[in-house]
Amino acid sequence: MMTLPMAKGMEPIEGGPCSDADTVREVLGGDPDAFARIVGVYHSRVFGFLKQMTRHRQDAEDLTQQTFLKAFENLSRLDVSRPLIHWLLAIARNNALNHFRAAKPHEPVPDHLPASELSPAQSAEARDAQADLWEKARALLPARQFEILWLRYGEDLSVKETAQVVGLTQTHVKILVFRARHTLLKAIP
Amino acid sequence: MKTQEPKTAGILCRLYRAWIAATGTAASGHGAQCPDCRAYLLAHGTLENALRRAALEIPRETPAFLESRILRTLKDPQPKPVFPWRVLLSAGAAAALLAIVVVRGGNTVVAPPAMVLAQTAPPQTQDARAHRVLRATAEALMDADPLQTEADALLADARDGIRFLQNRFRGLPQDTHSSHR
Repeated sequence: MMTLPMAKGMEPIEGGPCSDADTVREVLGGDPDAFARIVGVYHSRVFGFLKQMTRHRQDAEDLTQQTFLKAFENLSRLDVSRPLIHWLLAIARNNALNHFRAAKPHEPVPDHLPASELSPAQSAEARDAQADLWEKARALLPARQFEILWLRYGEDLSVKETAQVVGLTQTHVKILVFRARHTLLKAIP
Repeated sequence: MKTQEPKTAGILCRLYRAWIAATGTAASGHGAQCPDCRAYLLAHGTLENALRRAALEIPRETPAFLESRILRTLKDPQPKPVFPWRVLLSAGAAAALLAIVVVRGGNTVVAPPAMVLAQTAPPQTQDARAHRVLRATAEALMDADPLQTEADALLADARDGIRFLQNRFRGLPQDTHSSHR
């Protein structure tokens, strides 16, 4: 199992002194390895976000691939003053929305990890934890509120960052988060 | 964690909570005095922490080959489906040509007899005649010697000039062909 720490905001690419903005400039300057570094750092987080949105492992993999392909093709449009991960999450979110529009809803497929990667006890523990609060939130909340709640607390984005990713005003995000919490508080014993 | 919405929540409590929802900040006035609202805000804070903890406990495993798969796609991108402008333009041109043919043919067929008679020749005949003339001209130009063609043109111009002078000045000799040849 590869577990990466949750990145937050504009952070330096691991393994080097360069920031995201420097790495993006290197990619635009024609360095073929620079984008590989971006993929290496952020693919796990983008995949995790998309898996929360789709609840489907294969779809999340495909959408992650599409996200980085789109990011690579449109990198020249990136405002380097903004954190790269927010841009990637915004692309991933749009991909997921397009995916939901195009595809029929389906039952989530459980993850099948090799036994060597996760022990049965770890797996059960992890599933219990996952099935607890966030599963209830998913069941109780409208998709939009769940998405924003996940960005806010699951991805640990600020209100402003969440608003940038979903394209809403900060006040709108605050209200949706508050409503989501209110719904959960009423329902969770 | 569960907190009951106070049954006696008055308008002040509702306004206070709406304010918090919109601004994200707890105003001090009402919150300090109302125990229900204090408990309500405390429950929100507890839930926020619980959500963050629960999110951290979710295993964030990533498929082993996802990174290499993404990089492979970036190195060998699938060709984008190109919008078939050429096909569209060709189809448009064909459609326009067909429309012209249909319209012209339709006019010929449905035109009243008086209109058809008023025409000196049907369009097809005029076109065919023009086509024949153009083709004959082109063939003549291709077959002719360019120098000879130029000399003939100069000679014709000279004859036209002499005819003009003959008409204006009656005293000049009448036979121009023999004198120049």
